[in-house]
This record gives sequence, structure tokens and C-alpha cells, in this order.
Amino acid sequence: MNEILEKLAYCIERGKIDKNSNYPKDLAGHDGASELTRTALELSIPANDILKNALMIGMNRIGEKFGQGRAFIPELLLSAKAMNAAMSHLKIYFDNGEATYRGTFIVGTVAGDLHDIGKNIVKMVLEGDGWKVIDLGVDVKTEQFINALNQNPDGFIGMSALLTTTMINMEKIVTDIKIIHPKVKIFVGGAPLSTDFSRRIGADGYFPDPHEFTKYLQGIL
Amino acid sequence: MKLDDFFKLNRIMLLDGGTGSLLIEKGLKTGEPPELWNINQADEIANLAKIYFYAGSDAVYTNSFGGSKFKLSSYGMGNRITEINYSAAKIAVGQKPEAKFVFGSVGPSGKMLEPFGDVSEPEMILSFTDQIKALVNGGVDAIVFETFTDLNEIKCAILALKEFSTLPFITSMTFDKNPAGYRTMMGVSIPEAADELLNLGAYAIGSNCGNGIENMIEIGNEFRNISTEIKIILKANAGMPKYTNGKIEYSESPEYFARHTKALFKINPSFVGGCCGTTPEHIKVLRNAINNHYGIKQ
Repeated sequence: MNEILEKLAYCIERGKIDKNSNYPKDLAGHDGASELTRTALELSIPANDILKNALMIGMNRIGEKFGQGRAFIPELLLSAKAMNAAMSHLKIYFDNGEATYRGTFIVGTVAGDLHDIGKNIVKMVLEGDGWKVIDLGVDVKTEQFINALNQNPDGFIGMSALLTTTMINMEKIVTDIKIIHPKVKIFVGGAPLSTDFSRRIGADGYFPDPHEFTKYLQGIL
Repeated sequence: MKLDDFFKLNRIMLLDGGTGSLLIEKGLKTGEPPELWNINQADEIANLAKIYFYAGSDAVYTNSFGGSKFKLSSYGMGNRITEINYSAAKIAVGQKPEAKFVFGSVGPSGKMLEPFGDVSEPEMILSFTDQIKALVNGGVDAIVFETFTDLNEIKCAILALKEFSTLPFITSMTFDKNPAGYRTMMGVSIPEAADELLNLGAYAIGSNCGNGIENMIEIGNEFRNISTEIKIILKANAGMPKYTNGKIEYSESPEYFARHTKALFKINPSFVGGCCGTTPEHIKVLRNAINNHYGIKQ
């Protein structure tokens, strides 16, 4: 059991999605995260164990490398893709309650802003860290965030903006959401943002990269 | 005048400063693509070029940063690529004084190439083709590929140009400081970028955006360490945007830039200017500093 979970963790860390994927080159032709997850389930390893003892370990390793400047967005994205391939086999166990998410995250790029690369990276890394992510897409209006929170009252919000023309509206968006949902934690991200900005607009935090963010979330849960 | 003729004088070419913050002042709304102003508010875009030439720029960029097919399509304007970019070029060229230049600005697509994203290289090249054709037909003196972070994406943009034109092109990527030194978001180091882009025939290589003047000087020095021969372009932001009383302000004033010009010029760059948050006042300061550097009387 340990051997297959270690192999799976390695596939996540290296971004090996499935047998057919050509990346990374040195693992060409080998089983990837998809096949190994299926095999682990066939060996009756519980979905929660696969998640915690393989997938999250792999994501954590790539995250550490990212934080040290030894891996970059491409490597992180491929690991997240491998993670998603593995999670597609586990979804049924989350749906029937055999496995549990850390919690729910509602993510979106704010109204008027169509940039989604950063938001998508955060989404994939959060999913890789065991969160259920509800992606509202780009150009998300305040009401859409509020509606998603109405349906997921324990959810957190992750809000992105890349433009100074759209970040300037975030204070009102955060205020309006918190009028309806005063206890919700709202985190903000995007190239022109900063911790100082987050504090000034009444948000609950800014993180420069997704790995620091997931580490922080693990700490507050 | 050709670019090479300018550099026979062995002087720094002064570029322009930021566009976005000035357009916001003129009423650019949240969610409105600035490139649409080439059609609907052409007089404001012309005025911007005029202001920068007046402030002392030797070259200004066209208002076409987000004019690629992928970018304009996200605003439902994928069928107006030629119209918008041609107009961007014509407007700036129309304001160009004698012996000055207009560079066609091309920014990244906002999409990721395979295997990280879902766009193939031929699709990426195609996304830049009509934009660059329209800029070239509109009379720009060079193309500047700016704010790229993916070496493969900027290569696609360069290939789109090279398919039909021999116009000079300048490449400018955005680097972040991290534990491994300066790297782009996609992990590209300065030596990696330089090697690839010089091989592709870039007229100048360098960086814009993402950093204030101090980090940009460090980036410039790293480019210069690669070779004393290469032409370097550096366009720093006016620091980071700060949010005060519902307004965005940038931390680095024109005077702050002025205090760093000595270190900036020591790199021996060929092109300098400003990126996000810089204004015509920043350009005036750089103009004076360049003139003083060469002993030119004001």
C-alpha cells in the first residue's frame, strides 16, 4: 500500500498526469496519477487515505519547491493537472460522504476584469490541497459572490483582480458582501495587490503565491 | 529615420510612460478595453502620444497592448482586430515629429500554451498575426513585444511578425524577484530569455513592468552581464500601486526616478521609459537626465 501511495505522490509532484502524457520526459510510458489512483482504489485503499497520504503530499512537495524558487507556475500547473486527474476518480467518494473536503472555496475575478490565469492557478492548487472549489469565472458581480455564499454559508471567498481599474472596486465589493455575510473570510490576489491593500479594503488577507495561501489556510482551520 | 541611424549617435532612446492611469483620469471605465479608444476616443489617444512626444519621448508605443485576437475576442471584439490596431498605429504615427519613432505594442494573449494551458502554438501565432499586420500596415517603425512571461508565447508572437515582415522587433519580459533570482512567472531566467531572443534576432532585449526603478536596475545589470554588445530596454513601474482614500496612487515619484538615473544609465541601456503608474512628468525627468548625461543644453 505504501509503495503505490508513494508512487502516486511522486506523479503528483512531477506533474505526470496519465500514461499517455509526454511530460515529464523521464516518466514517458509509465503509469500516471490517473492510473495509479485507479489501482489504489482497486486495492481498497480508502479515498481519504489516497487524498491525504499521496495526493496532498505530492502537492505539498511541489509547493515547497515553488516557495524555494526551484519550481515555477508551469510545474505547479502540471502537478495540479495530475491532481485533478486523480481527483476525478475520487469524486464519487466525496459525493457519497466517504471522503471529505477541507471546506468550500468560492473563487472569481471581480466585475470588469477578464483575467483568469491567476484565479485558475489558485483554483487548481486549492483543489489539489483538498478543497471543494466553486469557480464563478471572470467578471463576477457582487450578487454572484453573495448567491454562492447563500448556498455555501461556510465557504471562503477568493477574489482576483489584475487591473488598477478593477482593484479599485474591491473595497465596495468586500463591504457589500460582508454586510450580508459578516463572518465570511475574503482573500484577495492579483499582481498589483498587496497586504497593505487587503488591509485597507477590509479583506482578510493577500497572498503573493498559492502555496503560501494553502499553508496559511491549513494553519487557521 | 531608421532605428540604426538614431543609434549612430550612441545615445539612449527615451520611450514613453504609462498609458492606463492617464486613460483612467480621462474616464476609462471599469471593464472597458483601452484599445477601443483607438476608435471611439481617437482624439484622446492622439493627445496621449502628443503629450509624451512633448515631454521628450523619442519613441511612443501604440495603444494596442491587448490588441491580439484572444484578448479582443474576450471582449466580443474578435472581428475588429485589424480596424483597432490599424487605427492605433495611424493615430500615433500621425503625432510623430521628424526623427522620432512609433513602436507597435503587442502584449501577451492572456492564455496559456499547451501543455500548461489549452492553446496550441499555431493558434497562438494566429492570435498575433492580424494584430501585427495591422500595426505594420499602419506605419510603425518597430514592434515591441512587452510584458511577456512565457518564452514560447513570445516566440509565437515573433514568428507571427517574421512570417511577413523584416521590421525590427524589441522584446521586453516581466521578471519577479524570488529565491532563485529574477525569473518570469513561468520560470524563465534572464540568461535563458537573452539566449533565445537574441537567437531569434531581437533588436533589443530587456524588461518592463512588475518592478520599480531599483529592481529594474538590478534586472538591467543582469542583462548587461550577459554581453556588453546587446541593446537593452528597461521600463520600470512607478513602484507598486497604493490604495489611499479610494484612489490608486503609485509610490515612486518623478523625483524618485531622478535619483536613480545615474545607476540606470551606468547599465548603458539603449531604450528607457516608464511602465504602469509613470506619467509625462517621469518622462520629463528622464529627458533632463539624458540630456545632462550627454551634455546637451536644454
